[in-house]
Amino acid sequence: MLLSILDPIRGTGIVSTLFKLFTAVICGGIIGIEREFKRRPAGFRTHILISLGAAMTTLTSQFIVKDLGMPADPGRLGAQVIAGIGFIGAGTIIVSKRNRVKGLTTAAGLWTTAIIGLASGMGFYECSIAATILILFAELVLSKLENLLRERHQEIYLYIEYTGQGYLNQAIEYFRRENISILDVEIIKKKKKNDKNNIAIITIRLHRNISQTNILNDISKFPQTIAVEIV
Amino acid sequence: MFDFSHLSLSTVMLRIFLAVFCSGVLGMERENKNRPAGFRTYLLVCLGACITMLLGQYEYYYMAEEVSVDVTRFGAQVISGIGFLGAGTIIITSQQEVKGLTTAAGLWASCCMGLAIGGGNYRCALVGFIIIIGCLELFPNIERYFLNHSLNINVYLEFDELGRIHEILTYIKQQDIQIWDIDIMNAKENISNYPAAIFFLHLQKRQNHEQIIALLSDLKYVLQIEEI
Repeated sequence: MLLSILDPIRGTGIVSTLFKLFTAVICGGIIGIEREFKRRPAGFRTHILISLGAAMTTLTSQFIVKDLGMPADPGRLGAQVIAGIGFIGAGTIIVSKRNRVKGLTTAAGLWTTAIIGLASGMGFYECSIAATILILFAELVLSKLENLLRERHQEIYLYIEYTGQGYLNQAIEYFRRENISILDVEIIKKKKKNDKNNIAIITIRLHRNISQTNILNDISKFPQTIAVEIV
Repeated sequence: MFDFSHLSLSTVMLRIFLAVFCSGVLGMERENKNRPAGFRTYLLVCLGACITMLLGQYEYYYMAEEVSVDVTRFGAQVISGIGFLGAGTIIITSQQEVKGLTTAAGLWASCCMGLAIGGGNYRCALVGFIIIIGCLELFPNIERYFLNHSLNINVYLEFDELGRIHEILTYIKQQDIQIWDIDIMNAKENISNYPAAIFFLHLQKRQNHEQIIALLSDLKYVLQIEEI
């Protein structure tokens, strides 16, 4: 069924223990390095600690059932890891002041790493190694693909500085006329006396018949526009 | 000879001692680095985890004939419980930086170690203990290396008035740095009463992060600058 060559190291002896925990550390470490490189909050050490801890739980329940012969559900300890890491992950999610959610991928990645740790602790090496490779693939290759897709359906952030009222209506009217869909509008109003202008960050999706420079030109022609920039 | 795999007075003492010792060593290291979870936190968490596991086994010795017992049921709840505790140590600063994640993960891993000790799986606990120590002691250097070689850099900037963002944007673009996202706070939203913005930058080539910070601090109207 599974690779029988790995069968001797699926148990709870010292060699198996070493193999299982090191698999957890290596898998967690690889996922962590990639995250660290992208400067996400959960890095190398966090991932290793979580996958190691998860591996210890399944290893211990396997030990209790197999070595000590006590009545226990071998999945019970591991099952709580799934809930427990959910909490830690929840702590990494940021809702920014403008109600944007960040850190969701980090939380999800941390959680998946914990599951990989569970699999390693049970000696299910095939699963943990395959999952690590797939996660790396998703992070390295699929994220590039995502960027490619985005370029075709180009989404851009427009940074606009303006004065006076009624400006945004005008802008929105313009986008509608040009058939450009507006995905998000963020308005930052002046709150201090020496801040003269208002700022809006508008996320729009371009289509083929209009270019970025055209939009910039058109918007800068509005009398109330002070500055416009593509982020 | 001694048999430490089944419950007896000496086994209980040995396990409690091991739990205190291992978590104490981990906690000392954290305490030295002035992290929120220190010596006593680690010790209490690990000892508690060890005792819950012992409790499950005690239950088995005294009640297994009458009812069906699962010795890991108590211990299992520790895992999600410490997940909660750990989540409480995570801080999101006013600059949108996540802190305390390693503390949470370390605390959680040491609670899993406590469970392994309480369950009598000494070899697993020992290997785990060595890895956790290594992780907390040696790996910060590795982590720093990767951070400094990262192509992504997040910068928190505070400046005198909101209108400066335009100038900052053009300046950053001139340096051939790609801007992935910005998060702007106006003066009222920021505790320091100055407008601020977090720039999520992507470098085109490998560059020293200090250089970028230095470049940005050349701007006269920038009041505070920090890499996050």
